[in-house]
Amino acid sequence: MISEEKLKILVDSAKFDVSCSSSGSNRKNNGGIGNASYGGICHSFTEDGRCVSLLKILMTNVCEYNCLYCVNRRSNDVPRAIATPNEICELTMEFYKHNFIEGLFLSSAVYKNADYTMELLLETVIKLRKLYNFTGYIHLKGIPGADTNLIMRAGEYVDRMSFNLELPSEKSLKLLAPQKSKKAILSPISMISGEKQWNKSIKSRFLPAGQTTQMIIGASPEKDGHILKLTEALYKKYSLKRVYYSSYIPMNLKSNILPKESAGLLREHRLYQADWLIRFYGFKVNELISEEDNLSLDYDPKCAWALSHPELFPVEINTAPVEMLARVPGIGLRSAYKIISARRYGKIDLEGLKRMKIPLKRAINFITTNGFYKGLKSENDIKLSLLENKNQPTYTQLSMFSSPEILRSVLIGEI
Amino acid sequence: MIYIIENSLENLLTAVFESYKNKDKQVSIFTNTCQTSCLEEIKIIKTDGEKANRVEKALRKILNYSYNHIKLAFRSGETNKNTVIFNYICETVNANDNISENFANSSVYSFYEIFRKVQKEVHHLKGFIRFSKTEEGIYYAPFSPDNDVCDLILPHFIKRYSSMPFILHDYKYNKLCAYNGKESKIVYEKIPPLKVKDEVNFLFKTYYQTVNIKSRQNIKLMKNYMPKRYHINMPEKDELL
Ligand code: SF4
Repeated sequence: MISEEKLKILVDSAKFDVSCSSSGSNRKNNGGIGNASYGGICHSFTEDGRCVSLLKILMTNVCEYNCLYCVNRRSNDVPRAIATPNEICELTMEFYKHNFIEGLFLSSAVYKNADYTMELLLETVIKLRKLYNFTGYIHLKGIPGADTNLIMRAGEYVDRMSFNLELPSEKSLKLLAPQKSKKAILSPISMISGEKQWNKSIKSRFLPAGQTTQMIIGASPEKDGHILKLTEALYKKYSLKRVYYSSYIPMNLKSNILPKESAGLLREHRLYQADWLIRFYGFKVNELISEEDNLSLDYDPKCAWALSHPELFPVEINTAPVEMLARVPGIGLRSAYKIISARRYGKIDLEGLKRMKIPLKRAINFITTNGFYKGLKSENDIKLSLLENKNQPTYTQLSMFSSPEILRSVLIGEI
Repeated sequence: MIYIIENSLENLLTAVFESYKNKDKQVSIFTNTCQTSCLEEIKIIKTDGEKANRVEKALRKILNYSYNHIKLAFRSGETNKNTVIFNYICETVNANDNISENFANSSVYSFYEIFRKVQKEVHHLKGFIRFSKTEEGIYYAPFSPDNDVCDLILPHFIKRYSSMPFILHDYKYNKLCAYNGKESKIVYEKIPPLKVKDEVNFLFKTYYQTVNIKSRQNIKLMKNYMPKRYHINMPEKDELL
């Protein structure tokens, strides 16, 4: 079994990766150990409030590259370690049998060169499947620039693969991660998406949980509007399952290209909220934000949208279509469907909404029930009452997982 | 009016039958007499398979698949679960319609809440249960759930572990679900949870602590998602480990 020391080093440098979701696959167990649960399962929660679903670990943190924002960059003086494929396999198996995890999230720094590293990763996942008979979930982070054959072969064994975009523009990538290129990152993404399309028709097991990507927010100057546009394009063009954002944390105090401070969790949180609205609530990026702007920090994106569209409100609870109900601040999809269900049995009034435990604090300013409006009278009062940071001075500590909806979206990927 | 029943769904269904027959109003259900005040009239309801069956049939006709919600809700550990389920059944019979989604009705909503709690715990436990490897090589998981759900999570672990022998030990409802790699067995017995020494538990605690991002500490949130009552059986939360 792997030593405690090694485990610490390899986990410590992997932990900033946010995409620990284990959902979207329904791999069956035929005689081995493990299956994948479609909805995803959280096994624990760390003290920062994040879900532990996968064993997140690096093959090695020894790196040839020198991406300025990364702890593992070559020029950084940190303890280094290399795991063997067997060590990773054994650890995964035992953690899985103890019910600590849903599976493995394996990535790696670039050790020697891209191909060499990718080969190590491939060897590990093949061993895990063939020798250890592991049939649980595997998410593999691909190495940009590695041989396409290696990448495509890995896709036959794992549930999900991701190539990280790293930064929201080519210019920033050149500046901060000089050894990586836009082409080396986008070409496997595009190839995988093509292969998935093709495999759909022949029902193969190629990457059943698809691919995702991740961007670092706040290390470079791109605005939220730009980032969300890019996100929208990625969903459309490559049918990505998720785009993850990770707020930049200063780890290279020597660099003067990098900002001295983190972008803050609130910004990250707002991006996730907007991303959620785009994927499930039918919002277009244009409706929420223009390309040159950042999302409002004072209001969540749905609230900000509603406040700028007074002509559409209030909506009548007893007649509005579900899409419009879900656009009311404070009413989520689940609540909207509850209302639609209950409506079949008769008219709903405020008391009825309360009995259904629909939070009215914000919604009350945007709805009528049977024609009655009980919210605040003036637009200004509404704006003031909805201001989020009124009584939250500890703003920077607000976690991106503070809203249950976002937690679900971020961690479980469940709709 | 107070009905006293044993803790069985059949008995509860019999109670529904009796209340209609005797036109009893405002019924509360208890499973033993000491919970009741002496001001109200008390009836002891004996289980009657015939009567229970008739109620079940009628309900299945109205509810179809969602009859299972009643079975699931009955696993609830809430003290007032019998009354809540009783009211929901009566409301359904009176409406003679599947009103399971009429959330504006308070009987329906109360029922929905206890049903959801059971459902949620089943999901939670799939994640929060912890196995330790005993010297005999059996994976053993002691736990103490709010609701009586041990056998409901058993199929999940059988599917998952396929050929691996394990034991789920619910020491609150005194149930052991054992699986030997081929077939499973449920045993009812009052045994205190075993303490197992297992190195891997220690390694996981290290993992759990390392993967945490200290600058983003948010203990309140952690406890929200992983309620404290589950911590007792989690090695990552074991301060002595
Ligand atoms: S390639 Fe760049 S981002 Fe990846 S580990 Fe090396 S330095 Fe870090």
